[in-house]
Amino acid sequence: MPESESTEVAAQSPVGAEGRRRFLKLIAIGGGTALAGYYLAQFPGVVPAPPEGLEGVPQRTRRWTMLIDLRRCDGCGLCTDACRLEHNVADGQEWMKVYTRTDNDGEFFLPRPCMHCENAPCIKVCPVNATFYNEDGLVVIDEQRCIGCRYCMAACPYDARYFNWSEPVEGDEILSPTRERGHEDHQRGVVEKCMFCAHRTDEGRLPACVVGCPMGAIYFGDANEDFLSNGPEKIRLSAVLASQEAFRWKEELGTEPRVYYLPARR
Amino acid sequence: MGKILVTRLEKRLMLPLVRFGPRFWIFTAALLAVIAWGAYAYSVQLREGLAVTGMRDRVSWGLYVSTFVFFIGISHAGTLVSAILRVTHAEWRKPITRLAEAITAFALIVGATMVIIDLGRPDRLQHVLLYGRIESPILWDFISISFYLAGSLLYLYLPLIPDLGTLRDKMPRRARIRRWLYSRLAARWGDTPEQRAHLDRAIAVMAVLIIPVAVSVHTVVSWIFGMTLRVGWQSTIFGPYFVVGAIFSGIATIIIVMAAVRWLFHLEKQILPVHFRNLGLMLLALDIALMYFTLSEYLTASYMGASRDASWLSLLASGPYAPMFWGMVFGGFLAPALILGITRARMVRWTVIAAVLANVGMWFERYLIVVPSMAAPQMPTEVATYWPTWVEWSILAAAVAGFTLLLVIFSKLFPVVSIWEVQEHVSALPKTVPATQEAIE
Amino acid sequence: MTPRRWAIPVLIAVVVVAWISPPAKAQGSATMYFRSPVAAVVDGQIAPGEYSGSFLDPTTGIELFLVHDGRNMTVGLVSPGTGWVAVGFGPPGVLMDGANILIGYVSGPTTVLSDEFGVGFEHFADTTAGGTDNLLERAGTEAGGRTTLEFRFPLDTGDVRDVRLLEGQDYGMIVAYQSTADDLVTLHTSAAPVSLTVERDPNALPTRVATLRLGSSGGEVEGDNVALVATLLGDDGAPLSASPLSFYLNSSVGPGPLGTVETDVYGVAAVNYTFRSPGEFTFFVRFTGDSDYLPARANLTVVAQPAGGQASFFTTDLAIRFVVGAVLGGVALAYGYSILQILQIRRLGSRAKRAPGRGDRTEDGTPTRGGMSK
Repeated sequence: MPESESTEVAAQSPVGAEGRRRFLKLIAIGGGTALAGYYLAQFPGVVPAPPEGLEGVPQRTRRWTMLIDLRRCDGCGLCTDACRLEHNVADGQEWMKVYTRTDNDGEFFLPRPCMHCENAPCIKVCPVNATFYNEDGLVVIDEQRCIGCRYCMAACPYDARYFNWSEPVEGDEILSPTRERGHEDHQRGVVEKCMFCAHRTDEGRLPACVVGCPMGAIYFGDANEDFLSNGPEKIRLSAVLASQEAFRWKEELGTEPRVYYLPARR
Repeated sequence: MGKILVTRLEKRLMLPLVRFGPRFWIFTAALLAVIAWGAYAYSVQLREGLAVTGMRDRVSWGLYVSTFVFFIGISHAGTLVSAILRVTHAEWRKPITRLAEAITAFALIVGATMVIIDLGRPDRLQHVLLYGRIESPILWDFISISFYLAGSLLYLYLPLIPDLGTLRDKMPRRARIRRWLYSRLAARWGDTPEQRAHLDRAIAVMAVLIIPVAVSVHTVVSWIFGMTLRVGWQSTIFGPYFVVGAIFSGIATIIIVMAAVRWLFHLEKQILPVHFRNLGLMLLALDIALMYFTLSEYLTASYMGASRDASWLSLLASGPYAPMFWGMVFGGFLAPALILGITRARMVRWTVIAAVLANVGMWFERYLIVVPSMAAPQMPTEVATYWPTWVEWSILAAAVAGFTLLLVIFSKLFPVVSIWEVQEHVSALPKTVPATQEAIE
Repeated sequence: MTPRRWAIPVLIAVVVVAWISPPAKAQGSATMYFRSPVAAVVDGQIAPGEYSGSFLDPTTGIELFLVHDGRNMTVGLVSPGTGWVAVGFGPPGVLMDGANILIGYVSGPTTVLSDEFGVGFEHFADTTAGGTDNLLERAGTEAGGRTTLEFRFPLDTGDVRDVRLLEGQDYGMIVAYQSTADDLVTLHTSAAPVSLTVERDPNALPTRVATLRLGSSGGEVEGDNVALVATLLGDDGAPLSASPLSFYLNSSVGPGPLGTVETDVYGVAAVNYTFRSPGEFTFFVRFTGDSDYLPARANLTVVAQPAGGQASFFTTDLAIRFVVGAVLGGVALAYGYSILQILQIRRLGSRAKRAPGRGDRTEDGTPTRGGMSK
């Protein structure tokens, strides 16, 4: 290549190259700022003080908790049926599931709702924030957001989540008179689970499984108020936890579930 | 009308681009048929929902996720091998780097497709972009794979530029569309020293950069499992374990594709036994590393006989997954090691056999990571069963066919061996073969 | 598939029936009537007019006759079996645990009736735990496949295992029977909880009005301990001492009992409560009244303020995001650099093209070695 040509080419390059470099720098800075902004916006700490109710009265922080007395549970499964009716739960799904366990003293039954863990693994792994804590601290699912990746199901140690593998069947209007609220919009291809009947607790009613248990084995309430009820009885949670050998399932995993059990034999 | 003159090397490597024999048409038709069948299977799945698969609430991930991990694993082939070999100035790499890079890009594309197929609501894929949570390992995956795909496409394209220049200049006149394509892609390559300088700079940067990006990809894929609390998944060595397995299956794939291309396009002079030997020895080294990791994983888990791991381990050792597990250990890990050790990778045929065994073994290894941990009970209940259905098998076949088809199309559009790098290599050898000129029609 | 399709509507129907009809634990309420002087004679036979009324429990089929005269209760039980019959008294919703259980059977001429107490799902005689058998009278008969038991028992025995029954209050009962077994251990054939109201003496209705006030002292911040202090004064302004006051929190699941405390000489009783959340809390205290005074109730609403303390801005979370963002930005910049090189190649190529002697072919067809000269 002739010398003069290369120098000519070199001489003509500075302005163009400079402009390009500047342009690229601008893109990089702009993109970097956008990226940084996007990350920061997701940061939960940059949020103002908790919202207040009317007239500046601070809102309650709820800790909905369940206590299940395994001595009273006889494995009848009416809690499962009550839940199924309340939410029109799809076939094959048991949002409240009763397991049978055998230990040294014999057989006993273990009802398992969603544990609504305070350190929930499912919330940690959801890629699109479809499952999250609502303002009462319950683990809820936004069925419009869920993309059906089922990572939360892989992450849940309690098998508490269920997937709509096919089109959910419409419930019969006539047979479920209580189904004015609760789930009506089951969608195919998304994940669902027990929601501690948030729609009922909003109205001051107990969850369906609590009311449906004929033995009164399931107690429910706000641990921050310290009272749980199974309908007629009210118990003081802190007193029960201090005096009885209450336990939580899979405590060693550190998920901090919100369902306590009283052992079957004491 | 002037005749275009090419060297013998160029002729050999450009021949597939101009000659479309019956073998090609039959093979492509067969691949398209398999892909069409897979597309039909997917349409059934879209219509009926994921209930047409064998997955249910207990084993909610199955063949699709295993195949996703498998293909992402293969994608470590090229870029990792070719980048590392480039950085270490291993000259023997030159004929195989392009194949390796192409394998990487196409494996990533097919792997990403498998994930989308697994989604319950693929119509909401944009939620990952709009509402993505950076705390989720799936988002780490998304970011990492996106960067890797972009990087590997760049890294495939950059060394292709000089050859695109050659193709632009030397493809027969009748290949009008393709010549237009090459000329658009060739970035006005004129083989000037200044251009070479820019090209070398870019390739050097990408070669170094692509290595950590590639390592990060399979590490974050492994963390999808590693960051849960499940037995068999919550293992601290998953990151390196998966990366080693990925490079292993990647090298095996290069060997297989290399052998196929060599046989199909008569590239015995370009792809030499020494390539098979070197890659075969690398395969052996990684096989040993993989066996080391596998031993570490299962021995540590089983030594104390902890009840937490008992059910999962017994599923693998003596339960329904035992044939697959021991088949993988003996057929997928030990057999290739023995073959390569005994033949010292000097025999092309045996090296290819070892590579095939290794790759099949790796697909089972991915399957055995995903499924048994989900089948083992977490609550007081029985072991769950999972068998893939025809939909899942069809889609797996279509994925493999799709990957192959992408390679076939690539081989028909671009020379599978890098012409300019081999030419450099050849002319740098002490005994220079005179470049005879022949006409190409 | 077919059996399953049958099962679902049947199951739904069964559940709906069980759903619509209130569950067993809320089935009806029995009343212990006031009758003074008591007409019931404890002879094992229930004659018409002996009791002021009866209650038939639909679940077990046991008929209950309950009457009291302010000091003792007289109870008649008629069961549809020939085995044992039992009734337990306790707080509302009681099953067996903590209940005062009176269980007995008739075997030929012998009637056995025992004052027991319930622990979990078992029961033990009061005498085995250092208490006494407080039954005053007992009798029973068996005829026509049915067993009738009658007994008299003090409303307040002073035994901690026997629940003290107060007029005007609500309690829970558990009733059970065995169809054939004449013992005290065989598992019941049927059992059910029943609600009980103890009727007041209609002639001894209190008329005086007491003053009950509820106040709080202590912190009103989340995490603080607050003392709820209730003061009970008579209509003469003098404090009423030794009167049980029951404190409750109006919780989201109903009134939660905080404890029952007797007023001291100043008419003051107090309980503690810890706020575990900010917000509005409503407490109330109840005086159930006595023979002179009407029941009274007082409310109190306390607002607990949040404990404060904002999450710090500079946490590890932010640091991690920054580092990750910087790394990804760096990688993107490096990609950009490579793309820039490609653009440079393009630019150089277009310049070189304008210079002659390069390129693919010359006009006259003279072949040149294009492309790969070195």
